[in-house]
Amino acid sequence: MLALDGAAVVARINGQTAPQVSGFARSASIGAAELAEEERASAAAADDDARSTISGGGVTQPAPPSTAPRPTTPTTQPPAMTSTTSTGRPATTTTASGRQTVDGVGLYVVSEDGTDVRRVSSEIVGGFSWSRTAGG
Amino acid sequence: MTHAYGGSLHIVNADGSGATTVRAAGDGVLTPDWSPDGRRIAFHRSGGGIYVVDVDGRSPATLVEPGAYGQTWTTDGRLVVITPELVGVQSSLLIFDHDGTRRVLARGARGEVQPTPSPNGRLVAYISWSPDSRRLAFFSYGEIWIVDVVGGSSRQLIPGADYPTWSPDGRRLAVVDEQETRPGGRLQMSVQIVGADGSDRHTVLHSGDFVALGTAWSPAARHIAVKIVTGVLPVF
Repeated sequence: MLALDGAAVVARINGQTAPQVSGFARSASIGAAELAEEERASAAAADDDARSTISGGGVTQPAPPSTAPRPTTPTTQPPAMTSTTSTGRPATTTTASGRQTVDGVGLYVVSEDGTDVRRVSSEIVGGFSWSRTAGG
Repeated sequence: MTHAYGGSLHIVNADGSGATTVRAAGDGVLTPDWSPDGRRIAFHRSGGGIYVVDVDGRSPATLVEPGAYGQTWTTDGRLVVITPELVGVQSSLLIFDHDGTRRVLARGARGEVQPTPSPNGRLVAYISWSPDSRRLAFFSYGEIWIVDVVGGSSRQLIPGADYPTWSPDGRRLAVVDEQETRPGGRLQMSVQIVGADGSDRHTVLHSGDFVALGTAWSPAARHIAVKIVTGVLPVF
């Protein structure tokens, strides 16, 4: 179980509800129509009591290298510092200006004040939903 | 739970048992949604229109609004839909009250993001076209508006934002803010939290050159899950 004050979140990866993130293949691309449909599936997933949970703390899969295109136009980037999550996984990059920016695709969980950012999955996620019995 | 495939509509228990067919293949069922009381299902039908059918499937589905899409139920059981934008006709956000009364809640609603009722059912957040809307690959600038489903009064909450989701207590919304940066012509997105009255707006996460595609509050509203996908957004 993902340890977020007892909270758990379920994700749909490539249209499947993932019992464990590492058990599913990744897709580097997703179409607009699929995205729209997955957004709808996200809402539907909230009614799915048979939900599984992402293993957190127990997310042992190393973060894959990002396949996302990197910015090409900025010419003056401030020096960056990479932060890590409590599990040691890269979550965000903090620029010299102090702003936290995500470090790749996936599912993130962020605290309401923005001080705690965790990358709970580095997969391309479709829909996602919190367990209704979760804390957090 | 309910699901649709091949244009048919089915109900199945969460453990996979008790599958029943509510609408047969060929009915063009898309995106089914349960009513809050669990007695009806609203769905979008390919070819156009929002329909409602009883869960027992014994009665024919009722056409609620031809051509409409983006249906959602308020927590107290009213149905909200979006009418299509036609040449010379703005799209509208419609609500069907418990007695079936059809009312226009707002004009200019945008359908890529479903209208999102507040937890108490009194307000609906929706996306409206901004005056300078420009379509991107699958995004466009939008404005987040909130409309009172009883009184009908609307107010703009945030310009240049998408994907509003209500906190469980209905006091705040998480949104995906979209700001264009120049020079370079890139759309920089961030996840923000804002009070339902527009107060205390603050950023909790920047998505940089990636795309934020929606948020979900944890039940206790102390955390927000954010979906980040690949994509560099050019600005046309």
